Amino acid sequence: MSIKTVFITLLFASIFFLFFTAHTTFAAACQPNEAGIFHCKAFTCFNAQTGKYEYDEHTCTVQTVGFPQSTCQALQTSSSRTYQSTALANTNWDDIDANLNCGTPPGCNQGTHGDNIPTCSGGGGGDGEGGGSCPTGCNANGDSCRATGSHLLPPVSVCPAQWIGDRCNDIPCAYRDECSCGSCLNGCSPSCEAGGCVGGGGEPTPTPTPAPSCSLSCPGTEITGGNDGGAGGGGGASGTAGGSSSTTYTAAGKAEGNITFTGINNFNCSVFTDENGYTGPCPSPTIVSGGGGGDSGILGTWTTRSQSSSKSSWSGFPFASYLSKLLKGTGITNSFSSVLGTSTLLAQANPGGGGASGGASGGTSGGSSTTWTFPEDFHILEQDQPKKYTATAIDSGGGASGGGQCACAVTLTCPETLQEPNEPGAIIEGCDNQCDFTVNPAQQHNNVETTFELEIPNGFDNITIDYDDGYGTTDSLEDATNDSSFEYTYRNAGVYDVAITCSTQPNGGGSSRSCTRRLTSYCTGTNLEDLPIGTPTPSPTPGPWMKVQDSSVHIRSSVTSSVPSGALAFDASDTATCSAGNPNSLACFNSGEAGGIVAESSSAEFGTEISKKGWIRRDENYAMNSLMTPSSFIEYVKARKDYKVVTALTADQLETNRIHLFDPETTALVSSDAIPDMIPAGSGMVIIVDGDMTIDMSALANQAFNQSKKAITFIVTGRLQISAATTELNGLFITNEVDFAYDYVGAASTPLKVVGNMSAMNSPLELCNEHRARIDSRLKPTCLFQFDYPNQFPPLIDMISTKTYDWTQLVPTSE
Amino acid sequence: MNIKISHSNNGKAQSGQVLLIAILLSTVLLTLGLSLLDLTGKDTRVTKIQEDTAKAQAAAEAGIEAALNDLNAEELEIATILNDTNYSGNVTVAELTHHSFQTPLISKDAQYTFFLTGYDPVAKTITSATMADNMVINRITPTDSGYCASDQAFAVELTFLSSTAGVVKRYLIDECDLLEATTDEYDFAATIPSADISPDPSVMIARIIAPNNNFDGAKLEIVNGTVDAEWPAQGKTITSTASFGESQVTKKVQLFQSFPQLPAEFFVTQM
Repeated sequence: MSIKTVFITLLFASIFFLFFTAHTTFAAACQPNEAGIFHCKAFTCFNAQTGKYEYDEHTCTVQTVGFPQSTCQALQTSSSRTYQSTALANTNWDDIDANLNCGTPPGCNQGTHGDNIPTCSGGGGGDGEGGGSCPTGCNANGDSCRATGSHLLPPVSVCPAQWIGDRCNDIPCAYRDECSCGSCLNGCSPSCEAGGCVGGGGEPTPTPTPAPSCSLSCPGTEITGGNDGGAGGGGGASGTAGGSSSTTYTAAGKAEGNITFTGINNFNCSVFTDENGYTGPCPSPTIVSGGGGGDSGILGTWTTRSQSSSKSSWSGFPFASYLSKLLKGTGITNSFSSVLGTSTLLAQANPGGGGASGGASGGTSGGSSTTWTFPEDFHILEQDQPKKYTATAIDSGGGASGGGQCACAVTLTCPETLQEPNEPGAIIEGCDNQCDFTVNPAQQHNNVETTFELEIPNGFDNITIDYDDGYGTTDSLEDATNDSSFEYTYRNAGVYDVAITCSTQPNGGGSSRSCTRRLTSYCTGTNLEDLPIGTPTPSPTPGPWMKVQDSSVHIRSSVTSSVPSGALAFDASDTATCSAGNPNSLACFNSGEAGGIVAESSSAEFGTEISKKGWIRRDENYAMNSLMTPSSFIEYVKARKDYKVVTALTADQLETNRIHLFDPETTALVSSDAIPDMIPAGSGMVIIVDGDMTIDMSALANQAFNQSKKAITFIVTGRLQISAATTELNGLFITNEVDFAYDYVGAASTPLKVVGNMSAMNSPLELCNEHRARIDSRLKPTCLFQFDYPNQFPPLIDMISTKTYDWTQLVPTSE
Repeated sequence: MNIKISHSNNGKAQSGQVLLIAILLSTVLLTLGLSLLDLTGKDTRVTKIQEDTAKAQAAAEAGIEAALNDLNAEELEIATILNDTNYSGNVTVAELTHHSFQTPLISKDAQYTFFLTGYDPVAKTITSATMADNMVINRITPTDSGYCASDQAFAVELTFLSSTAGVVKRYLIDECDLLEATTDEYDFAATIPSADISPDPSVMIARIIAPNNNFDGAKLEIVNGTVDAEWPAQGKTITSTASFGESQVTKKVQLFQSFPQLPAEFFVTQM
C-alpha cells in the first residue's frame, strides 16, 4: 500500500467519522419547529481559565408541544426527566430560566431550575436566591459559586441589559469589563477578578447596609411604612431613628387598626408588654434581619390586625391576629401567620434565623420559633383598671446600627356609654326583613349569657352565627324557625360584631343573606344604670369595595368603593403592592402597575389610596369616546376578518384560533368549562355573542370559569349576566352591559374575581361592589379585577384587534 | 375705400350693402365655428386625459387592494392584476423600519399599539427579542404650544407590556395636569431610559386621555433613543404606481397598514 493510498484512506475515514459523529447543535435555543436529538447548551459555568461563564453541552431530546409551536419540551437523556420550557423561538433556554437541566457540569454550581438540588451559598454572594451549603466540588474546581437566579448568556461585547446600572458587586465577573467595572468602580471587588471560590465558596457579595431605622405605629396613628424618625428611641453609634405613638381608647374596649413595625438592618421587635405585669417577646417576628447573598437587605414587617370587624377587644384575651411577611429583594419568599388565640400560645415561624447565621454568605431564610404564653385570665378588663399595651421595637445593636427603639402604646378602658344593639344604628351590615336577630338582654356584663333571637320569616332558615369572640366560635341551625335562638356568654368586656348568615340550603348553599349587629359587653363592676346612653356608633365596618390590579380604569357612573385601612388580600393571588414605599401594602383601589383612572363623577370615592401612582381624574363632564363597541366590532369582523357562524357554543362547532359569531335565539349560556377545555395551551378562541349571555358556574365545585386561564374572549353585544354563585372568571369579557349577580336581588354574599379583563360599554345598574358584598371579611375586596396580559392578549392579538390605514397620494417621479 | 351712394341708383346700392353684411356675418360665423371646433377638440383631449387619469387612479388603488389581499406579496404588476396590457406599473410591499415613527391621529380615549420588538404578520405573533433602546415621545399634533389651555388638552398613558411578565411599567405624560399624579411621569421630548421600562417589554400602548369632546386627536412621534438604531416595522407600506392609455397618465398612491391595534375598549377595565 502506497503512502498515497494510506493518505486517501485516512482522508475518507476522517470524513466518514465526522459525518456520522456530528450532532446538530441545539445552540442553547429553542427551535420549536425542529424536534429530535440535539446538543443543548445549558447551565452557565464559570471557567476560571478564561474568566467567563460558559455553556456546557449535553444531549437532550427536544420535542415540540402545543400550538403555536413556540413551546418546546426537552427530555434529559440521562434520567428521562421532562422539563418544559416556555422558550420562544431563538431565545436561550437559560436566559429565561427554562427549567432545562441537561445534567450538571462537574464542578459547576448546581443551579436548581426548580429542582431540589442543593443550591449554592455560603459564598459567592449569589445573584438571586441562595441557601444551603456550597455544593461539593465547587471549591475544588475553583468554580465560582453561584446561586440560582439569573442564568447568564455567554459573554458578549456589551454589558447585558439586566446588569446595566447595577452595582459591580452584583455583576458576574464575566461581564464586569463590559459593564465598566474593570477599574473597580462602583464597588467592584478585586477578589472577584481573581476568579474562583475563595475561602469557602468565592467572594461573598456584601449585604448592603441601609441606614438602620424603624417605625412603629399604633391604631389610629397608622403610617404607610418607611422610616419614621422622631422622638423617642435613638441612641446608638449611628443614630438609629426612633419614634413613638400612643392611642387611648376610652369609649369602648375596642381598638381598630394596625400596629405596624418596620425595621431595616438588625431591628428586632423584642419587647411586648401590657404594662400590667407581662413583658415578653414581640408576637412576630423577633428577628427581621438576616439573609444576605445578593439581597439588599430584608424588610420585615409584622402587623397586628387587632380589632377590626371580626376581632373585638384589646382587653381580656389576646384576640389579635398577627400576619407577617418576609420580603427579600427579589420577591416574597416566605409568608406566614400566627394567631393569638384561645390556646394562649403564640406559635410563630421566625424568618431570618438562617440568614443571621449565614451572615453575608448568602444564607437562605432559616427557621426558628418562639412561643409566647399569654396568661388566660390576666387580661380581663375590669372597671377602673384600664389596660395598656406597649409594643417596642429595639435595635439589636448589631453591626453599625447601634441601639435605638421606637414604641407605641394602646390603652383600653371599659365601655362608658350604653349602646343599643337592637336599633338600626347598631347594624354593621345587611339585616333586612329576611335575615335579622335581636339581642337579649340588650346590655349585659361579661360572663352573662346573651340570647340571639332569630327573625327569619321566609325561607332563609339555615343559619350560621359568628360570635366574633376572637376564638372563631360559630354555631349553626338547619331548618330554624322564626323564633329559634342561639345563646352565648362573652367572658370579657368588649365590643362584638355578631354576624349571622341566612341561607336557603345548609352550609350557606343556595341564596343567602346576612346580618351583622354590634353589641357591647360591659365590665364587671360597671353600673349600667349610671352609664349615659351613647349615640349609635357609625358603622366602622367598610362597605363592600372593589379592587383592580395592573389595569387602567374608566368608570362611567358615580362610585363609592372605599378601601379600608388594613385591607386584606382578596386571595393568595392578590399580592401586588399599593405603595412604592411599602411593598406589603394592599390597601388601594388599583394595585400593581396601575394605570390611570377616569371616573365620570366628581364624587367618586375610592378611599385614601388610589394606587401607588395616584393617577386619577374625577370629571363629571368626561364622556368616554367608545369607538369600538361590541356591535361595531361585529361589523368590523364581518368586513375584515375570517370568522365562523355557529348556532351553538358546542365543541362540534367551535374551533381554536377562530372568531365565532353566535346569534342565540335566547340568552346564550355558559355553565361549564367545556369551551376552555377544548383549547390547547398557547391557542385561543374568540366568541362574539350577538345578544345576551349568562355565565353560571354554580354547578362546578370551584364555581369558577376557565381556571386554567386559556386564552378566550367573549364579546357580547347585549348583557353579560353573571350568576351570584359564580366566583371567578378568567378571560376577556367585552360587553355592552354587565350584571354582576343577575339572579340575586340585593347584594349577594359571594365575592367575584375576574382575571383577564372586564370591559362594559355602559354603566351597570349596580357596580360589582353594590351587587355583591362578601361576608367573610369586609377588609377583603368583594370584587377583584386582575389584568392578565400574558395569558389573554398575545394569543388573540390578531383576532381581537383592528388595523389602521393611512392613505397618501404621491406625486409620481420620472425614473 | 370710398363708397359712393347714388340716390339715383338706389337698388344697386342696397344690393352692395347686403353683400357687405353677408360677408361680415360669414366672417363672424366662420370665426365662431372655428373657435367652437377648436374648443371641442380640446375638450375631447381633456376628457381623454381625465379618463386616463381616473383609470390610472383606479388601477393604483386596485393594486393596493390586491396587495392587501395577498399576505405574501412583495411586488405585483398592475397589468397582471387587472389582466389588461393597457395598464402598466407595479405594486411594492415593504415593512419599513424607522428611527422615529409617527403614529396616525389617535382619537380621544383611543390608543396606539406600538411593537417594540416587532410583529410577524404571517405567524401572527409578537416577536420575542430584547428591547434595550431608550425612547423619546414627541408631540406632533396638536401643534399649538398653548394646547393645554384649549380644548385640545390631553395626556398620554404609556403602558409597556411583556408577553411573559405582563404589565412591566406604566408612565404618564401629562403636561396639562389633567390627572392627579404622584409619580412616574415624563414630559414630551424627555428620554425614557430602557432601564426604566425593563424587563424586556415587547409592546407599548399609548393611550390618549382627553377630557374635551372637541379634542381633534393627537399624533405622536416615537423616537428611538439610541443613535442609528431603528424601531422594527410597525406595519406594511404598500406603494402602487399605475399608468394607462396613450397619455401614459401615472398615478401613485401609498397605504400604510398598521400591524394589529388593540382597541382601547378591550384594553381598559370599564364599568
